[in-house]
Amino acid sequence: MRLAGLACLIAIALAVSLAAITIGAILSTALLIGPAAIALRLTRMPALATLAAAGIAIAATWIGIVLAYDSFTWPPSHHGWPVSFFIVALIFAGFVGTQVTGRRRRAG
Amino acid sequence: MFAAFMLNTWITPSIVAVIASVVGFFVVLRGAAFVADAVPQGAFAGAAGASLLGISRLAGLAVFALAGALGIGWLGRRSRRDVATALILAMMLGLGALFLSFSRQYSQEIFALLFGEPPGISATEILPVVLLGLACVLAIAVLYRPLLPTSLAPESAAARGISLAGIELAFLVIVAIATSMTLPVVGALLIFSLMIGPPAAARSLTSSPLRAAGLSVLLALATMWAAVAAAFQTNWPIGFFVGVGGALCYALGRLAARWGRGRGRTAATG
Repeated sequence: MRLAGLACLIAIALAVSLAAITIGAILSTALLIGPAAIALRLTRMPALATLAAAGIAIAATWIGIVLAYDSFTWPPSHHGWPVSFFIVALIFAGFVGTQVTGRRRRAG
Repeated sequence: MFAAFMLNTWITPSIVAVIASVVGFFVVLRGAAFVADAVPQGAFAGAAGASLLGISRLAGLAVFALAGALGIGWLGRRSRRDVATALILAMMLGLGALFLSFSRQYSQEIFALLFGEPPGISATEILPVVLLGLACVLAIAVLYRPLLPTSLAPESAAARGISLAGIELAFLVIVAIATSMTLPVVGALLIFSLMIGPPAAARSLTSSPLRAAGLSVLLALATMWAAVAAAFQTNWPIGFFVGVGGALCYALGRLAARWGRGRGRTAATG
């Protein structure tokens, strides 16, 4: 049990340190936690939730990149908005959305 | 170091140290250290946005700190608190990245906000800071009776009819106010070493809540004054000294507590 906890911590440390180099410290937190939190709202099955989290993360990243590419033509100036902002915003919107709808389903 | 023009540099950090340690005492009691780390770092984005719009930095800090704290309270009630805190922090940092990408001429100001500067609050901002600080201390004094039991034994407090959610919300608002006035002086990255270090050390030294709160104020003042003096002498960022001081407080507090317990045990057996 203790060994499993240690292995999990090492896996997290590797994932975070690799992610922080490639996509920055902000995004690594958001991508590590956000998709998993959304997926756990959608399904309670662990294997399915893991797959869903990976899918949500890829979708958020790709849509974010497309939006950032497109934002070059947006105001206020001719230089693109940061990619990390779009990806974080998409994940956050998804999280808030699943939170709110989840609550309504439970109440209704 | 004690010239007339330095007076401001001594007064504001002292006020800030008192407020941060009083609020920090309850942050430590409630185990809300992650929130106390996330709110200032998120509020930093508010200052970046305010400098973009050309409005008061303090207003930007306050708006973002409040929004972050209330968001954590709102989302945290529905899902796990640490998940909500982390995602709110990431969202506000993302907004900060957006604001910084729009304005690229404030690098000196931004650096000061991240790592702090002793006269970080200008003479015109002292009055609002003092008022905010008084409001914080007053709110803690009024809420002291319900705040203490909800922090130590939430279940029995709820059984006695204290609204946990209401107290939690009020506490988050207090953290947000304390954050927005402490941040310009100590900086966003190291603010929570001042909020966590001295109270945690004080808690390991005494178990009486009032005495621990008083002790944490004294430790925070000592840390702050030493940091201001050291920053003045070396011209290094003050946040560095506050961070080291906060960690040192905690380490010494734990060591002293262990030594005291060991001595008590030998006295009991011998």
